[in-house]
Amino acid sequence: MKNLIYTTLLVLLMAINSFAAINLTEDTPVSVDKDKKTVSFLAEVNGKYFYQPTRHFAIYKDGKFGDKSVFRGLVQQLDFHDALVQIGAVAGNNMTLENKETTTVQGQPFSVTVTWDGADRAYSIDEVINDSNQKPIVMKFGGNSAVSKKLGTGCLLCLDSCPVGIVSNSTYTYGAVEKRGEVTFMGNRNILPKDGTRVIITLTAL
Amino acid sequence: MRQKLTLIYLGVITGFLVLLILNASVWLEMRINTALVLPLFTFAGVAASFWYVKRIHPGIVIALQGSLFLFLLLKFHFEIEALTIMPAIWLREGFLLNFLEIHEANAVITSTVLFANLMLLPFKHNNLERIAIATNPERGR
Repeated sequence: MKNLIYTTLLVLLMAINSFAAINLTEDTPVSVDKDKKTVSFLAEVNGKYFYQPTRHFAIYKDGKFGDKSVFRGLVQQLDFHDALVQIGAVAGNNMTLENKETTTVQGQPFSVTVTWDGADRAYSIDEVINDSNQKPIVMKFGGNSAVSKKLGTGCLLCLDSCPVGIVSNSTYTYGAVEKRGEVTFMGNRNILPKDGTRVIITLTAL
Repeated sequence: MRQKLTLIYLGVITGFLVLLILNASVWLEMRINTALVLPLFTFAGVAASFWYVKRIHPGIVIALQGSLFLFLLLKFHFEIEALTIMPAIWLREGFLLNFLEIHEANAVITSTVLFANLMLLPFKHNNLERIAIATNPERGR
């Protein structure tokens, strides 16, 4: 009974959270809640990665790699970086182009959820992304704003430790997907809505 | 004219086949827009239609088309739903038509395939004329 009450409360909280952030628009695609330590941004589902692997969770749609992720973010990567700094998140900034294959990303860890108009609730990143090894995705604030600005790839959240992405998954080192084939990531088509649907991605500092 | 259109269609199919090969590499797929081979091969078909004068046997086109369909099925583990999404996305990315919805891109693909296959049917003007006469004997007099 206690569990049922807690679950109901959790679902209710998630629903309130998703509706509170639903005001995001193309003009204001990111919102910051300093009290709750959350950053939410608007994105679109890319149906391509329901059927083929990728190493990107979200990329700014006008970035060089804007079409290479499960979600096309509507927020520019440096604005996203600044939003995370505003909630007091500290970047690891430990990844470089030289150590990327031997180091995992450090920095503020986040829980990441995704919701959309008509969704039953906010889904965790582990539910919306299929990891072939079924390992939990641990997103950390890598930082990398200077490299990100220089390369202009638009990377927001990467699925393996990344020297360019603002936030990335510390479970794997760079190259796990593309080079060494340790893991494949795909969008979960059984949960996510169809291609082009607008979603809200929320990062909560842990 | 039919010869020219057949060559262009052949270019489109070859483009899709090459795209499937390129797509097998995640490394490559993560770095470049591999779907750009679609307009490349389509334009190659257009270019070839200006100088290639020999007749293309419809069997070649049908065989290539069948292979493409088979490879698509194999790549996506016989998931028919994937076939309603992936070619449409490739078309959109390749021809830089990002404003197209999936169903609109699918309509373009379906129309192209239907038109191309109708074009491949061995109808000759004389045959059509004979059919017309058979259905309307007045026309034959």
